[in-house]
Amino acid sequence: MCLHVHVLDELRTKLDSKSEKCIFIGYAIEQKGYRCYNPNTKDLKGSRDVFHELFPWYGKSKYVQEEVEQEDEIQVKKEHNESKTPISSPKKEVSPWLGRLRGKPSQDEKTIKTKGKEKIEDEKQLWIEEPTQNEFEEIQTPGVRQSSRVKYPVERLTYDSFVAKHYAYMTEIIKDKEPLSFEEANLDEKWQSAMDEEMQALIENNTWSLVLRVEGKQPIGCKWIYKIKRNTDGSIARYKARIVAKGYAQKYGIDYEETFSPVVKMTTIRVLIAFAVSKMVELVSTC
Amino acid sequence: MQCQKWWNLYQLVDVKNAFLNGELEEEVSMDKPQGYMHQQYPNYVCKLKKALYGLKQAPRAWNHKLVEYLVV
Repeated sequence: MCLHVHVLDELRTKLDSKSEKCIFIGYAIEQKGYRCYNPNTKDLKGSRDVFHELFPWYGKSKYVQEEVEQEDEIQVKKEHNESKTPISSPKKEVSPWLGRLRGKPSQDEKTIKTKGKEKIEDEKQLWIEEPTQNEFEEIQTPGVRQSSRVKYPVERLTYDSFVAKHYAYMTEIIKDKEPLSFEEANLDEKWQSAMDEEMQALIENNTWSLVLRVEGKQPIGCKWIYKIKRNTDGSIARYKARIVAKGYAQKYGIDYEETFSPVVKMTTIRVLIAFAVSKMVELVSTC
Repeated sequence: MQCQKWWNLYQLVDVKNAFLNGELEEEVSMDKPQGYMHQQYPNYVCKLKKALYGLKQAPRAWNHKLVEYLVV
């Protein structure tokens, strides 16, 4: 592929051309840029300031224009006539070219691609007369890099990548839904019995006594929370309903005086473990 | 001998629903749980004696209980 590489201001005088034609070899390792070879000066250089006629952001040049016109002679179509507009208005010319390059795949596109290939191959022969020809042929890929790229669909997380056991576990877990409100749970018998169970436990634990409401003191609310307790294989162990007080409604000095967050000290655990070891007993954690 | 120790340790660690056993020092009144109306006292509220999940002082009450248990 032939590239136009920008020549630095310091290296040229007023009348020298601003770019030189080089052969695209690859990408530079030691810098961000292209790696190009100039057959005339036999110079290898890396540069970022490079363009090619087929770059989509580059206005269509004579080179492309000629190609399109040649094609028009073979296939006379309305579309093609549009792009026949003269070079004097480069902005207008860009769009039909881009449209066909990226748009729906049609026969036109195919012909353009093959055309471009031929064109570039001609170019190659024009440029390379050295014995290193084979080497270049291997590295060079014909056509525009952008359009020849194979587009792979974005890989998303799918269930296919899981082992059957995990798959079963996950489907098991998302199969059942925990109700979010009392109204929702009250429709289901198993949640009803779970709530009964919890109420029974609370009453047995003597958690509260029923009193007349004190005037001026707002009772705090409470809420049911529903949770499915599972075994390690994902099967359901039990349905658990739990009452949670809305502590956020409590006011300091009225509903509570002091709070405390228990924090475990690592030394405490070490003492416990050391104790267990010294007495040769087993520690079992239950949660 | 071993067995006895095991039993002791087990007692130390496993307290069922320890969190709900904490006793409250303050007077906290709470609405009755949704769906459970006392037939005799429909307009009464619950005066909490023991801690519940979500209460501000619940961890403190639990800690108090634990210290009590460990020290005494």
